[in-house]
Amino acid sequence: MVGYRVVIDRIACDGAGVCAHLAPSVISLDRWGFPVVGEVTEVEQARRAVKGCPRRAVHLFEIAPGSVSCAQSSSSP
Amino acid sequence: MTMLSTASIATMEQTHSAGTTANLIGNTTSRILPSGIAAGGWRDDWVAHSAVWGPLPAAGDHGDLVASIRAIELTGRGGGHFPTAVKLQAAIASGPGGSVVINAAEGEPASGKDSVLWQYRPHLVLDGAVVVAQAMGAREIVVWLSADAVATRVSIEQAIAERAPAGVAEPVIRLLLAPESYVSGESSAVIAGVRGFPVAPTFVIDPARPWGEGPAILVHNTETMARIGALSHTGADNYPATNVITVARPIVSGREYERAVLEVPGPSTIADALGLAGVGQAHAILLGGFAGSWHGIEEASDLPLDHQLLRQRGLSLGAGIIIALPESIDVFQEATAIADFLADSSAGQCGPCVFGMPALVKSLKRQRVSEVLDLADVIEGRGGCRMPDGAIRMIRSAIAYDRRRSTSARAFRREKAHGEGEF
Repeated sequence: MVGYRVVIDRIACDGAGVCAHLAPSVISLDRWGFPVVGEVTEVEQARRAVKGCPRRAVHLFEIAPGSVSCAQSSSSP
Repeated sequence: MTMLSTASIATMEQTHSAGTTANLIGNTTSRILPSGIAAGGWRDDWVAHSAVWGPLPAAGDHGDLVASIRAIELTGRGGGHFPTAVKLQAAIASGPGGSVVINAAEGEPASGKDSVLWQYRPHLVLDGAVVVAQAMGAREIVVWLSADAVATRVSIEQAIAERAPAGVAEPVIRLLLAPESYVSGESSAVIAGVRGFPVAPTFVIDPARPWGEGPAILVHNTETMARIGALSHTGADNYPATNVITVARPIVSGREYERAVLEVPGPSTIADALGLAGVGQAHAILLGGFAGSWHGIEEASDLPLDHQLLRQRGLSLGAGIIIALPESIDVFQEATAIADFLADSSAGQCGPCVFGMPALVKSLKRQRVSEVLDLADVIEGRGGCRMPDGAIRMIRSAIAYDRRRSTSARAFRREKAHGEGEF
């Protein structure tokens, strides 16, 4: 069973809020409009957020047992 | 520096001729140095340094540097306490041609140890960088120094000049001046600065490889580097397992501190350090500096000045800072002033910090404890760097301290006044 983890690049993020619309079960917004990440229960939603973020600030990582590797990320600077 | 300079000079003269190599700063078991000034102690120039520590082992003759660093369990003395061996191993694995950076941007106003090490033992710090650079096959050594640290800069420039005629085979050493800011010393900000980008924290995925791809830009704190320098001379068996501590007392809370830098032997306590620094009247201490934890003096006296032992109690020595509060300053008041400084220090990049930290400070100033705790939950873990998390740890600890003192009228009134008496 592979787990996933969403990581926000807080420095790139400017609080557009698109991610919370595309992945409502995974991401909510705080009182200032910045993402709060929860459990990745819906991987497809999380992938949409990765693709849809205008700042390319949403990253999705696969959590392999014993290690964390980058499964899919919105950018590779 | 009035609190400390008299005692410092006496200690120094008394111990100058003791003649062992057991310590980094000096050569006795304890020492007090006033920080921020070059007077009152002595500086080991290249000749004095070589006489005390001997020549560096030739390149390729360091044995396994990673193994000996692991043997002494060295962790990052900038405050993060990340295992030094893990970082070095990742840097070596990234191949030759990288940079070794000595982080001397001591951005916390209560810290003085790094500038003292540079002013008194510059060659020990540089020796550490040289052996690290040789192990990595690095092409350069960079000293990352806060632009306003004038006395430290003089010592570093002299040290670089002193080494050149000695004909030591080592990479080029260059001095880079960092903006005078708290976050300038954050390691991803240092890496950005060394690369010529704006000096601000960047997004780091793997803390062991914050430089990302390509040759490493390995950043170690000044004391960490001095410890590697000492280790390369002594070997793990005779390594001086001391702690370099800054004891600080507020002049202007959160902004300006009177500081004493001490080197104490391994099995010392907080009471030992406070005694050496001559802080008689402290009623509480902040252990670990601005990201640290608050303790009443009676709770803290017997705590060991040892990172591993403190970690077992869920505490940290941070960058080796103890802020000692006189009776005239309340813990909550000092915590608020420090949070205010940290909020002002934000690089302004991340929403939870840009909006959260000022909101947190506003609630602290109004003494609305439950509001503060709610905001802390919202902000925690959501900054691009660790600054907000450090601030939150310190604030929660101040509130916990107040609650342990809930019988005190002050804390009781504070919570009652806002109908938050949930002790």
